[in-house]
Amino acid sequence: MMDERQFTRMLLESEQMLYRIACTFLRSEADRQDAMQETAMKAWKNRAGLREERYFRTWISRIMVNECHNLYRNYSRCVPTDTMPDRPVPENGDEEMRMLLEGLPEKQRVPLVLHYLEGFSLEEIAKIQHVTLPLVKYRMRQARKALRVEWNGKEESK
Amino acid sequence: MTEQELRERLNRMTGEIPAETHRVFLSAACPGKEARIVKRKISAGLVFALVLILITVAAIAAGIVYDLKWWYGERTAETDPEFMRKMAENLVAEPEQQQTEDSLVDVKVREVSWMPDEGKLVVSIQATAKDPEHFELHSRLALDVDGAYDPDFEPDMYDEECEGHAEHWLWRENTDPEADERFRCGPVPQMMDDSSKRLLLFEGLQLAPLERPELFGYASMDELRTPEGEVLYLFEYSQDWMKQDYDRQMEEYIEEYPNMKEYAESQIAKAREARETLNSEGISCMLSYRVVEYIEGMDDTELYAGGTEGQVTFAIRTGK
Repeated sequence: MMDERQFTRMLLESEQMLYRIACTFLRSEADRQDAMQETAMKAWKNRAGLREERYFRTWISRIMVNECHNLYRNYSRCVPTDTMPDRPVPENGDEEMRMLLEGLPEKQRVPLVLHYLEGFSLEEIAKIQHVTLPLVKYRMRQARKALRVEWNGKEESK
Repeated sequence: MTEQELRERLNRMTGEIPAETHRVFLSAACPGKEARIVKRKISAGLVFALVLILITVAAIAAGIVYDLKWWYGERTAETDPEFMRKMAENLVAEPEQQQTEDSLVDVKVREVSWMPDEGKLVVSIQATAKDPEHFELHSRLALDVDGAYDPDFEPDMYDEECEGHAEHWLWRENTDPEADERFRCGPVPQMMDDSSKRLLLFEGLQLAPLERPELFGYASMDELRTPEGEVLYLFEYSQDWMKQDYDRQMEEYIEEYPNMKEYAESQIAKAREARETLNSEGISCMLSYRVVEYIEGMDDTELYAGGTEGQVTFAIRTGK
């Protein structure tokens, strides 16, 4: 089992990745804070379940995805859209891309982000999301197709 | 859009982690001290109940008094004796309070302990069904604890390890001492003590000062359901700003994390202002809660956000 120092180092190295996953699911910064905190705590409590260090990223991402599911299902969808705080957009951030991504259903958005942003293989995503590989491939295809349609529509309207 | 373009644009989309989120993560990522109680956080406007630990039916033995001494001395292992002493010193049982009219539940603040030296505030509350003959009360947070509820769940699309389910599940502690698993869970009717009764779900929403709701910030929270059917909540607020050496600690923090200077300085300013607001009369607070009757097949939005809301107002004696 990982010792405290090793665990903390790996966790901190994953911070940015975890935050991006949180942003994929959750609109409110408070929700993201909750998800980040709970993920860190659950990971520490369950670290004995991680058999090999090289699977840390997959393992911690899976915990984060589960946490986001909890928050998303319980709260986020109940918040009226006009009261939702805007996700902070970085300077020079790609607001248009963010809007396009938010237009996708969660089931398509998450594998897309995990794959293109975090570099997970489709097999790893299947493990993170507890789904079969064919289903991940299917959702990725759907996501890319939807983005392409949206993107082309925007380009045409310009 | 090519895959490379997509990757680049996704990379630009998410910004840096906000300072406060970074701070929260840092504190949780340093696991040297196990959380004394289940960490859940309450934001200024809403209880964001994360479900680390589940509702507990602590039916260990009859006659247990679920007071703060029990929460910290029995339910939680290895509580710092100094914390226990300060908590007892500052304890106020059943402070003067007033609940708004409510036909379904009685809600009361059981105990409050304001510990400026420890930088802690602890409050326990209790909810009881007014008509236990016909209603069974549980915490709303005992529902769908694992996040595996999905109304659109289709088993054929998932592998056999998937724990998803399309119906709501209720979590209960397994009271059988011989049982391998501490908790049991399953579809709501199967988990009720008496499924012929109507199920009420109680949820604490917010506990905050009336005039300055942001003052308490985030809390850790624990909860349980007693064998008698009461739902109890424990809120523990870390109120570091109350400590005498708070400013010095934050300055050390700035030295360690120079990029957090702006955030830390704003916290110091807020802390000073907050300390000045305390007076001999204490702080008037309000606990807001929600009660919803669970009906199989009901609309999820109504379940998660509907029902009726109530409040309990009370005062915390700050002793200044």
